[in-house]
Amino acid sequence: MKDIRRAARRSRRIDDLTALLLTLPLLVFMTVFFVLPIGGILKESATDPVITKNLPRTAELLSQLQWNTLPDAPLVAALGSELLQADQKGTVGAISRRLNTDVSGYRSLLTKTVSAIKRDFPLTLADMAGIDKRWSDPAYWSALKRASGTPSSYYLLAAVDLKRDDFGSVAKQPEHVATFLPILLRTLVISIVVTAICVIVTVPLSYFISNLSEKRAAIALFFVMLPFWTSALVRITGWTVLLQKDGIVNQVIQLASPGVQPLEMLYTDFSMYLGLIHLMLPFMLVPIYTAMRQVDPLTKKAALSLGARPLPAFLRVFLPQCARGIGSGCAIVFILTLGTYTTPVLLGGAGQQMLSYFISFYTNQQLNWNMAAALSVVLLIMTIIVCRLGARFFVKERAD
Amino acid sequence: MQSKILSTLVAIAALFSSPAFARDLTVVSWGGISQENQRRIYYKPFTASTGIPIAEDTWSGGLGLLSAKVSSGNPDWDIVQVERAELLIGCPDGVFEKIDWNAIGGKDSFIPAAQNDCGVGAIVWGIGLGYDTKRLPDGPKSWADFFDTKKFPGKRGLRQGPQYNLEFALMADGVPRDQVYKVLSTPKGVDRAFEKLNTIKGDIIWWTAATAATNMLNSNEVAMTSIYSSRLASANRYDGKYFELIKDGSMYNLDYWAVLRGSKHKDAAFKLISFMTGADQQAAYADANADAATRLEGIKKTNPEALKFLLTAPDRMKVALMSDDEFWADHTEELTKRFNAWAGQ
Repeated sequence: MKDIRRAARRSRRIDDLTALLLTLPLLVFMTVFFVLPIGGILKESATDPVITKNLPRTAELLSQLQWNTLPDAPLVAALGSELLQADQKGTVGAISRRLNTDVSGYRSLLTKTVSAIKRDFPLTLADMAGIDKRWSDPAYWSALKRASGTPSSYYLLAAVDLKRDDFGSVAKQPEHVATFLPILLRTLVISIVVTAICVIVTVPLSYFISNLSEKRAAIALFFVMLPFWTSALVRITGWTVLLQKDGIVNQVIQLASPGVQPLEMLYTDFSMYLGLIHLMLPFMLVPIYTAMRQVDPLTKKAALSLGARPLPAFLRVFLPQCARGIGSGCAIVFILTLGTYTTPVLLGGAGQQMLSYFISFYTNQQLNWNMAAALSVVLLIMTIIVCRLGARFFVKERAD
Repeated sequence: MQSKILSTLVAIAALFSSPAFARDLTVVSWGGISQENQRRIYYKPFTASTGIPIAEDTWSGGLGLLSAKVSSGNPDWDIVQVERAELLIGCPDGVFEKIDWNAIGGKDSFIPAAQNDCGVGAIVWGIGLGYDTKRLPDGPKSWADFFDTKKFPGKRGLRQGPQYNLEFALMADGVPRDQVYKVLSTPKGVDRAFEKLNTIKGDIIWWTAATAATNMLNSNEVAMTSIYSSRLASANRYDGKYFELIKDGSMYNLDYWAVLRGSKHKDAAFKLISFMTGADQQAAYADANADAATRLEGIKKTNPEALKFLLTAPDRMKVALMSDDEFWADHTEELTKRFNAWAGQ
């Protein structure tokens, strides 16, 4: 009896181990390509390393400085000597770039100061004010303090148009640089509109295809999926050829009614939405079509034979059974649109850029990965919120 | 500035993409016709004379990519053709090797703008006001005309983003060429530039890819556009177009050859850069690609026939404005944000 139990336990343990081993590649994959990068992005978004790395002693002393006050002698001396070292190491550029993003003109202040400090002697505040009177303004010291903490909320706040003011409390960014919230809103609106139009187009289309015979459905699906297999760039170029002023669409219009002003379609909202919807349709169609195929056709027939009219039968009996497919289609399209980059850049105008444009801008052009990470975190949080809301909506639908 | 995670990922990607055996000296540039010309004029003759094989790659800009490669400790690229702005931000951040000017033949044999701690000037390129003389026989003469949609109706093409456009706007508004950056350094000057752009906002079509400017002129999408001089020259030369470029108030800038820090082929890389910036090679390239040479001797040797197509020929540079990338290194972020807020209004 005991032996059997032991043997059973052992075989179960082997099963567990096998299961674990089987999932191991996926686990490793998820950790390396999912958990670690996202963790890294979260960490980067709360890091502000330039000052702590290049002026370590100054940063340490700055943490004790009161907001909106002038520094004491040791802090000034530390800054003076560390700026001199930074000049020898060639890191003044990075330091001034960081401070200049916060307070315009800081770069010229540092350049002036560094060239004026001749040798390594304990500098006083009076010396510094003598080099440039801006050093006697607490605002410049507060900016330095803002930049010298790690972990830091500087970039995360900046990503939602907020900053710490010179008194250390959270305040709004000045209007001419407060651009991320409107762009975030635009990103959201574009994603919602694209998702909505995709659903409206796809539901009748997949219903139509799911009622075709197997062979015809395969042909129809082939045509729907065709754009999916061509490169995004080729498709975008195709739209450019079609939509430009002398393009095919305008030529057809000219033929039909000569004398009409050619339409301005390229590099507008219209061309951007067209490109995005074209890109996203297959992602919506596949889950909805699959869900519709799985619905028992008898349920609709039953509804009809029980006296329901065709449209209510479709909306109240058939469609709710596909809610999960519609839900996952919406989620995929919405998330993909949120992060899309190429299509708005190449088909939209300057007024249609989404948050991804700025993430790329900070990653590639400004080499400010902390800011890029903070914007990514904002995008990530927004995605999670919208998907939670969406999931609740579709789960409720199913319960009806 | 470094992301360990990203660099680890790049390292892993490099592990999978490149086999363990030695990699050839790798040169990266912008692709297209210019890279074909580089292959013909630079790479093949270099390999033929030195026996050093060269691998090529193409990129479309992005300092982030270079920085990630360098922080992996073993970059799979060696020489990259970079823009000046990338050099100015990347050099203090340690993305590039310092140039060994003795290996290149000394700083003084180059025009001043080509001399940089981290890069050797590769070409001088230009951007200016282009239009089609077939459609506008009596065309615009200046940036002021570009902003005059009554005199010259039609859409205008401009490169998306604040750089160059704010300068053009100020010049159109009457700011003398040598005062542009002085004015632009003041908040009032920035306001003035945006206000000027605002006067034709509804008529601007923004382009991003360089080919788009040529295409839009071609298809009459725009009546005039800012356009790279080499693109315009090659449209005239190879596609039989009659585009014209206004030299007054055009802008020029440089591309540089830079070596990624930690390159395993550092010596060979400097050898190749020295070869590529040789007077004969530069002159041949300027002839083929309509971008000007940077070595003084190379400028002298450039075919006079080719100079016709060069916005960046020495005498024309006198009426052009060099992009002040120091200014842009300081203000790109602020002005890009402002530009996008303005464009989205």
